[in-house]
Amino acid sequence: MTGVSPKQKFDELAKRPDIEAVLKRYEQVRTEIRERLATEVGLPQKWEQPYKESETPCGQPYSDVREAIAVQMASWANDGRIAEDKWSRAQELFIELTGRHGFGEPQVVVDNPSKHEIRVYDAYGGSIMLGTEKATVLSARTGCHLAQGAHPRAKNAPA
Amino acid sequence: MVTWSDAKRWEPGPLHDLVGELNSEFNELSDTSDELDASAAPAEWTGGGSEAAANRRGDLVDQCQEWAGEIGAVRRAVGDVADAVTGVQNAVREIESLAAAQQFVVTDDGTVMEALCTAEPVPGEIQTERNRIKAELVDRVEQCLRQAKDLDADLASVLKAAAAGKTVAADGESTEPSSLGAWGNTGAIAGSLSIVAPPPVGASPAENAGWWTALSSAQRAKLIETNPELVGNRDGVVAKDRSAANLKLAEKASISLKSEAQAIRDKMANLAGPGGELQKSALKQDLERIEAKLRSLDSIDQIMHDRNGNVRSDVQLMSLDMTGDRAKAAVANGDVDNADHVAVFAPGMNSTVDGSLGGYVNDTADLRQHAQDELIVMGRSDESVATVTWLGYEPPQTDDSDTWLDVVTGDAAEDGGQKLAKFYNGIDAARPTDPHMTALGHSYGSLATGIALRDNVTGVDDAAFFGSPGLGVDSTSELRIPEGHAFTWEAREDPVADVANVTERFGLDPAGMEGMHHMSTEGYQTPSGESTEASTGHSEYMRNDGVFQTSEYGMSRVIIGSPDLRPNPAG
Repeated sequence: MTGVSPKQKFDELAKRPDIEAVLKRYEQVRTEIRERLATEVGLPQKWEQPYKESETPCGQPYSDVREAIAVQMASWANDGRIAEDKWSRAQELFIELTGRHGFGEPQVVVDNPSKHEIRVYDAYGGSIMLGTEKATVLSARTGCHLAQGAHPRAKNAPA
Repeated sequence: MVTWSDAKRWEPGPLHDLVGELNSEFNELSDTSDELDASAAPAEWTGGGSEAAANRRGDLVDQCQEWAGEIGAVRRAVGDVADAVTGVQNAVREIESLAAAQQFVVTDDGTVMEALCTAEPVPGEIQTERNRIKAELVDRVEQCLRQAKDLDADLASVLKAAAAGKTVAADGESTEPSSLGAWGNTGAIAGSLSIVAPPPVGASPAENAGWWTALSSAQRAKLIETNPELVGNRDGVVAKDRSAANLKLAEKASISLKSEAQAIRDKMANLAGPGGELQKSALKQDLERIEAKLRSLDSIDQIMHDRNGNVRSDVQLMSLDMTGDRAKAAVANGDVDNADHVAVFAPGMNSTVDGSLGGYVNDTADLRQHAQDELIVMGRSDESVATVTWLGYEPPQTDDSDTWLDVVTGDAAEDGGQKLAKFYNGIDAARPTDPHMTALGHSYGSLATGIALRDNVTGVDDAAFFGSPGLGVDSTSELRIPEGHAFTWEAREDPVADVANVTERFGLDPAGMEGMHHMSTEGYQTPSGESTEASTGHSEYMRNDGVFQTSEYGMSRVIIGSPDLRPNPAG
């Protein structure tokens, strides 16, 4: 995007959903995954969020769009680990549910009998990750999106 | 003269009690004053007796006013000292605790003595570390006693003035006893304490930490509000307070730079003729420099505020330096004062606050989340992580990446390395317990990082270098970090990471050094068919670009002290 003005980048981002809509969609996917992991893989029902959500300005190429942000959502943590013989089922339902919400092909960072991590991306560079070792994590980070108040759709909405 | 044993015994309680007694005294005086007010002579009483009574009443009014001033001054001074004594207590506690943990003792006169009992000779590197800790304790004791002596002198001065009747002078100008409250307030101004001056420029982080710890919370808040430039960039001051001071500093700098820019524009508008054009050209350069600094402040403002315009509670503006050609700053994701793991990232060539800081803060926020996710899966979610982007130096700027090595010297890295080492030491000095600290250096920033660790004893436990042209050393043993705790990433198609192979200008190639862990940047096909992402080129190692790379996974494990050293973590 060399030579593209901040205004053009803003217009590009305006074609994406605003950050609040994205956060809502991501949380919905994560809720479905947590529920299915409990019922189909036998993970304990109790999930916690030991760390807080964090937001930052966007990286390249949108770093000069002031109204744009990215959010590292608070990760969900479960004290239980996904048993080795249940991992392929966990992986299947993770891919199925995220795919239903528009996420793409999975990428695996670690995959061995003691530890698994799988990640899927949306069209804007955001991702959701499921990992298990001694415990299990379901984390999410968004791509770059306009803040709700800055999004043209919000500004054009009737009062 | 206040000694260490005196400072150890200081308690705020009796001083607070004294403030209560002085309040009672003041109230009693106020009642007496009211009686005096009611005792005015009847209008029909005239003559010598009446005159004498009026004079006597005037003297009593003066005495009441002076007394009110004295009580006001002493009450204020005693109250302030009581608050400040809590700062001295904190400092004493921290020093005694650090000394005990490291097997030192502080004697009654403030001398720091060895208390290590061993028949075995102490190995050289342990003795070096002990010397560093002892020097830190000496600095901290000195700063604590400086504050204690300052408090003692201030209070003595107020008490002496009160005892000599010199706090305020009621000279008969007013005969109205009803203004006693005002006299008390006048006294309170006279009784306010000075704040002990900060250690001089160039002071060690331990001296700065010792000074800051020994101040009362009220004194700290006042300094942040009125003199943020004394606090914000002072290595050794807690990150939370540095951040508050730097936010103030940013406001002040913005106003001043905007005014400077306008003055230059006005000046340019009035220039004409060939001479004027020449001057305009010089002024334009100044204006561009100022505008870049204003853009830097704008970028910092964006980083420090959330989408609702509130100051973000999970970021800390740990330094802000507007001197020099370009703005310099350091921003932390997380709480550096309390995190179990702190990683400090030094970026390289062409990095600027206005152009790149926001992106780096985004990258390091992402790295922080990766590290936290690893802590979760390892069952260690009670541990916390902070990641800092340190742009406290001015890395070289060049448009031509192919020839940069021909024009770039190591000068900026030498200078930056020394500043970076102080920054690391400041993080440790500001905390009662040291965190597990990782130094991350990319490209030219890895050279600055290497130099920092080569020339200084720091609290860095692990060092991670990526896309490095060299570290300023030929062996990991020259880096003053624990053996086996150096890591490097060298991606395919990264020309900078091969520089050291060609020229050795900045030391040997890190990837070839003995004792250096050569970490994976490759992509892999997993048994189940999915793939991990390789890092290629010079700038992708840590970038939050929507692809989680093997190198990011590797770094996230290093910064929590659990490196995954398998050549293929996917398998």
